[in-house]
Amino acid sequence: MKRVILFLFVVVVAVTLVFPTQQSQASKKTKLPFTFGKTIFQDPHAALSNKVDIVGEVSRQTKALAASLPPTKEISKPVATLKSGSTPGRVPTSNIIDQDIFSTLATKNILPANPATDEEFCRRIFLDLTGRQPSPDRLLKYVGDKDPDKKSKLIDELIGSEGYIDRWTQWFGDLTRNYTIAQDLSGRDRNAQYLYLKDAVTRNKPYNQIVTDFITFTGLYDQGPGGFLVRPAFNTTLPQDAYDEITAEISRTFLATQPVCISCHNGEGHLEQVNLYFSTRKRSDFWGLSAFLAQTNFTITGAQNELVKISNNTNGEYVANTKDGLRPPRTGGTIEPTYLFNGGKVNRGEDRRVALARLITSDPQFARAFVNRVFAQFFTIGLVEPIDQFDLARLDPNNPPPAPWDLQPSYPVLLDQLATFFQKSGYDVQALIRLIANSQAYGLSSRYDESKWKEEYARFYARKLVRRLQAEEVLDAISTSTFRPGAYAAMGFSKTFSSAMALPGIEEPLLSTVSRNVPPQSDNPYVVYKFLQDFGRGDRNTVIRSNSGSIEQAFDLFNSDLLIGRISNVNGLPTQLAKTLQDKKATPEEAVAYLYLMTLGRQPSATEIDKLKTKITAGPEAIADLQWALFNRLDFLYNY
Amino acid sequence: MYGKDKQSWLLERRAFLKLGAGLGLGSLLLGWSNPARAEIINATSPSIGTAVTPRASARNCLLIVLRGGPSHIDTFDAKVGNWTPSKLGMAQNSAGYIWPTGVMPQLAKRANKFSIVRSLQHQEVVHERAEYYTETGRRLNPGLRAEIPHIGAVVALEQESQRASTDIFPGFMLFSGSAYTNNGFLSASFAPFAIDDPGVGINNLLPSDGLIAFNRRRDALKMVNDLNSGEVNATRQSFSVFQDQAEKMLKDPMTATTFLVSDTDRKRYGNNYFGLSLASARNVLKANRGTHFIEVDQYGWDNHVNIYDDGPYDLPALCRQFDTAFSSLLDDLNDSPGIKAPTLLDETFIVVIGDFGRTVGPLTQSKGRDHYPYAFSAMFAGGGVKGGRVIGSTDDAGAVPKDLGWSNDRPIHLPDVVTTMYSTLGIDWTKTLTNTPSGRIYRYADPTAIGDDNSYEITPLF
Repeated sequence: MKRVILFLFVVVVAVTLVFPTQQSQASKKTKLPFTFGKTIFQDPHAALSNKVDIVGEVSRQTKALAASLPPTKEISKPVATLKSGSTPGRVPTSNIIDQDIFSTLATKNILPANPATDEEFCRRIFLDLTGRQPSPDRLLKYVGDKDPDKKSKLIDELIGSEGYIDRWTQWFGDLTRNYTIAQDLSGRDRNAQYLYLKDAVTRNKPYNQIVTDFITFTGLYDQGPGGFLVRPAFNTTLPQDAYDEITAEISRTFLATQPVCISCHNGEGHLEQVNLYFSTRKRSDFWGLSAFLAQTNFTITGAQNELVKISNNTNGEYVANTKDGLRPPRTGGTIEPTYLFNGGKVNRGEDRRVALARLITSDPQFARAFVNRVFAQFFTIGLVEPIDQFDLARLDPNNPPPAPWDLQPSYPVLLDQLATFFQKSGYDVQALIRLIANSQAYGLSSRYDESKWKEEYARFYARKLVRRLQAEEVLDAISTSTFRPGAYAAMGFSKTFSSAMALPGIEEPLLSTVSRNVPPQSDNPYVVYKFLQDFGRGDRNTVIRSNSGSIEQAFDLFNSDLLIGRISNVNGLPTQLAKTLQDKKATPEEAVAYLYLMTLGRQPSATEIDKLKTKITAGPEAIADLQWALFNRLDFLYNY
Repeated sequence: MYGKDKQSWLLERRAFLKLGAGLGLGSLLLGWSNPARAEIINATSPSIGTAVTPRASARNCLLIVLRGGPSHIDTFDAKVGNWTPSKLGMAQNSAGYIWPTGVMPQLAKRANKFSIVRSLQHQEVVHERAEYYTETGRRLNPGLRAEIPHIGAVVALEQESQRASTDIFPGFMLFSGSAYTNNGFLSASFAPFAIDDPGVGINNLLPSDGLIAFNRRRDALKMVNDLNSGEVNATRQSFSVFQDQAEKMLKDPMTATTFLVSDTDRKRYGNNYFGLSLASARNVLKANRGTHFIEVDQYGWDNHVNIYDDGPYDLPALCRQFDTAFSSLLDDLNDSPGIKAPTLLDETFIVVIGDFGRTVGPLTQSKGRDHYPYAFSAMFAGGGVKGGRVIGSTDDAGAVPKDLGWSNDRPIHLPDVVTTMYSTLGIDWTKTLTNTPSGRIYRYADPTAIGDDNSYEITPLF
């Protein structure tokens, strides 16, 4: 007995190769012969109730990290105690984040953590805004500063700084998955997008303008952010597949939702357990979105076929008539461009991609998606998680989804308020970051009375959830605190980069330039490359960024030349500290404090000073051992 | 330590990722050439929820991925045509079927040690997606990319409870330039442990100033950590767990020696990335220190251009490289005693598989073969596999499965290969995990991409 098998995907499949003669058999079916196999969905509700893992893991990491820090009593005192109707350590605020979070915590009878100490906050905000730890001087200056506005002044100082530009250029590079597909190892497409983003971050270009530039780009792909449109199309064979791939990428990136599921099949019968919104949408709806790209040409050009030119035509159409390629056959003729999410159309005489950019950037989901991503960067988990899997039918608190679904955001009102704020600010990224960074909720301590802590509190941000440092942050912290910056070569750049965070892409440091650009006595580019990959940098393409630990990371922090070579360097911190002690320019206590400040971005506790002040006088090797030990402490690896 | 070889292969790997100079961005418009049209073979209506009994015939699984996708009609499913160069030496092997004895002479003599499945079908024609499919047993869904683990991570999870105190190696080891997946939503303890310098050893196993210096530093760390209460509730991400495991490995002298490859073995396996990887993998299996899933990759099989030329990444050279290394591996595993079975080969299930097949018949204009999904082959050995068999067949061109080779009424797909791995390792492949970030239930073997409710062990292998 024969049975048509190809269209019966239970797990959502993005791209499907088609066995052409199946088409006729498939079309004989009037109804999808689809059932939930017993082995697949024994209990659909169980699947829904198990979504806490991201939050739970962060909660457990936060507990572990908090336990590794010196006891609170040694470094700070609780600011206030809870009275009914009030929140400890909280002053009245107009910040919309605080209003929603603290009133919700009070309603739920969840006690928020105390505020972080000044030095904790200083390290935290430096890492989140610039990817770097504060220098000892800056940290101590902040701690000693009596100005009541010192927090917001520090935030203002950091926003727009050189470190901020590097860090947020990298962040936007991750968001837009900037990697090169140029054949000639020139990195030309990636570099063009990198330079565009760096300029946009430097000038605080409105986010809607950035996205419009990405979607409407025309010209050679190394003259701006054109690689963004070309990359998804790179492995396709049919125009319709290329349009579909680009559409999926645009939706994921700028709307944080994944219509890719319905690029192969209707939502019905597939997505009931996954995404309520798309479960009611049809494949033809997806085509309507793809049709906005149907008047885009990609032309391979250049003497070595090394360039791609993106241009527009006025007569291209999305015709659903394929029998081949990467997806099941398409039937249905010419598809009118129709914005999937609200039915918007192309205006008369309007370029199709201009129309698409207009519709996307005016969609409320556009702002929601972005504010959630930025919020997640500061609060470790987003208001919606996973951050690129929004379910648009589960966002409205006034119109909650039917059981067993729940609202997707932890704070649905706040999500909309942040989106509105962002939209009203003119999509001002710095204003959004400033709002988040200045909130008292962001400034809470990661410590908590663990006997009272419950994992579900994490979702409501009752304490600061810790964030594992990114690969670039780890390497840069090692370089900075050992007084030996890197010198990393990058494709298409004659200068080297001293900071991993500043690198234009994830292909770096470039291995083939070992002898040309890297000064002697510098790091082996392969060792650096491997270190960054071990710490989860990913490749922005197939390997996504990861914050997992690994045995490789343990070996790296134990024994890598990047670290061993630095701590034992004659110009390194241990040698210099030893000399300072020998010359009696510092007391042992001061030396211990300086070592901690440089390496961990915090002062040692009284106990730590007391136990280590005798060890630190034993010479450079002993100090190097201590610095090595601090690099291998848990709090080095986390922003807490 | 990181010689030119290492860097050059990494760069070469990058070049491969870019689809090869021959295709380049032309794939936007051209891509793989139009395939021969495949006869459709549909499945019978399967029973749902049938209890399965894993075979449990192996302790280890070795997955060898021929990255790029070898031309099946020039290798495991040999078809002779007027395009076939004489140097391939197409002739009967020791098991009596046509084999490229000119470029795989050693394996020709050992055909009774392995079996070939020729009725495989693929659904992917792009390397990235095909290799992802091989690693995970399911097709790439961008929405779930972050959570889907490599099969090796699932095996490591399953075998965790059986780990002995002497099992200091990670459960899953990877000899690969760039696998696409890792532990996914599973604990990072089950992530692939990557060996980047096969034949040399583990990166940063010891500091440049030696074990004594390490011990001194470790004492300092203990002292510093003891000043605080330390990491109390260890999480699955807990860094101290990884530190402890790394310390155990670096302090065990066996760790360093396991990854060394002797001069004799460099000759026997080939002094190249693949040969050294396979020789190291053999050492790891022989060491029996807790690693039971190993992936080893051979690069270069994406022969779009001048496939029969004599460059290092053209088909004849790759065949020879594979032949040398793999035949030595079969010999060595066969000569090593097993823990439960007579030989190490008996208890190690080996799968050799490429991204997909390549176009059949005469060569393309570029004198190569392009990506082809409708029929391809894989090689199996050890772990209870009866050697010398050919399972399934293709039509005269090698374009489409003809005899399916098993009792199920559809071609064999990757979920069935994965099912067979699980079966030999004694793992119930119908198991599911529910605690995924997306809430999607994760099935160990997931046949939904092929539209079937069940996947099946390739029973005729045994």
